Amino acid sequence: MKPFRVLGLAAAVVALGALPASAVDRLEIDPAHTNIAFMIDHLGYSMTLGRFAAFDIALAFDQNQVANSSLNVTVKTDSLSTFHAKRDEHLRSPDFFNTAEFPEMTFVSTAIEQTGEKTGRVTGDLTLLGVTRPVTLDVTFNKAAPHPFNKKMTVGFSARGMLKRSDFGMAYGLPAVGDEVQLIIEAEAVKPE
Amino acid sequence: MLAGLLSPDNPAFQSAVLPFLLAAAAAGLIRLAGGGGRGALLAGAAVGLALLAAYVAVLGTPPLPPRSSGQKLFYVAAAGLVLGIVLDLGRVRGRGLALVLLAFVAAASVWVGWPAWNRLAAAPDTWMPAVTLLLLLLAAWSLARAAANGIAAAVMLLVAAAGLAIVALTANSASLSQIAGALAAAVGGFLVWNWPTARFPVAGALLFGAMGAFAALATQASLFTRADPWTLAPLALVFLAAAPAARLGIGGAAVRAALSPLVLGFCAALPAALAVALGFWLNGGVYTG
Repeated sequence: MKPFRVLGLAAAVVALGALPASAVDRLEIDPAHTNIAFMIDHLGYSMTLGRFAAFDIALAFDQNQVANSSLNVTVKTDSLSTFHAKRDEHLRSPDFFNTAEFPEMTFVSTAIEQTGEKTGRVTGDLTLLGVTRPVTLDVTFNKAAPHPFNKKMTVGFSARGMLKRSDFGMAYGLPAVGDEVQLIIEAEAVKPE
Repeated sequence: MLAGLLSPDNPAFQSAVLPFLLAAAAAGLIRLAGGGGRGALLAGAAVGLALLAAYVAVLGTPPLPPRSSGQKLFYVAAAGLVLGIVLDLGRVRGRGLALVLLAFVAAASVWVGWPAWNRLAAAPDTWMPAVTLLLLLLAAWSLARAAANGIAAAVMLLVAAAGLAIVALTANSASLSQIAGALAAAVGGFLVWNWPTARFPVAGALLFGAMGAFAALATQASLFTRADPWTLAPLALVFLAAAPAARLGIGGAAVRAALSPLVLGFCAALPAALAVALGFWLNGGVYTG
């Protein structure tokens, strides 16, 4: 989930490559319009949706050489919410995110590439529960334009990815609770004036 | 219904049926293979073996080195099992066995709870790691003293593990609950050979494998789950039940011997029931997924 957010940021970096404006060194994420979410299968009946509310993102962007850009994301695992208090407690327990022992999840980009006019791919190392594995996000650049209200240059992007929780040692409840986790990132970032 | 209960994916099978049957079978096989002397002495190793098998059924084989407290639990139980067997073969008993058990439980609790101890050094805002350790040492000392008293130590371990399983469930830690349940079931599998007539001594192989696992589970529950500390503390009193139970003897010598494990189980169940009641009250009840 944290990697997703990181990937989304990376996607923003890729998207910035398509911006008509001058090169951007650093983007500030708009927390009011940024979501790092996930979906996971529940017993085959439905997909359960969750999100993380607290995260820090450091994005360095090279407009001329997108591959030189970088993205570092830190997610506070205790901030997860699936909109159900008791389930959230269970997800924070040692069965899943083990937030008391592993309060943070990190993503560090290792490769950012542009794959189309408005698409890109961000690969990085996701560290969750003390295990580091590569994760890739497919990013779509949605829009880059001055915000209609505050007039600041704002970019928006969407990112999607997939990981297997068992790869990170999160094996409790398999196979009843799904192994594959869908990553959903919707983000907006502002170019500082 | 029976087929569902015997399904490898069924939590009840993983943490009750499997460890109970494995412990009962392994205890008998060890006794058969080792004879009335060494075999009976080491029969308690069946508890640790069954617990390790149940752990793998619930969570899979943990990596080495382990990364989390739950993964460390597996290796604590395995190390305790081996250490207990070595001490049994070396005929270590009495106070010597008790002192080694105290040292092992202390090491296990500190190792499992190391992230909390580490944070304590930077921000000493909680006594929980130290309180947990002290209660576990009290429990281990009482358990070692009871080991010479027939199967009393095994009865107290069963009740304490069962209580911890339910408290962990109220704190939304299902895997911890399952492993604690597996420990209780494994001890139960050992006890079917020992009631109403005690056949195998509660020696190092059982004490170190089972108490090491209990210490690791209690430390994990205390330091890394949402369990309210007041829901866990009464479980330490379970290990003090032998003294009041001894005063409740009923009938003649033969009847008293047969009933003493049941009387002890009743006395031990009182603080365990208090812990469970507090668990439902303070931890918010059970989430079934």
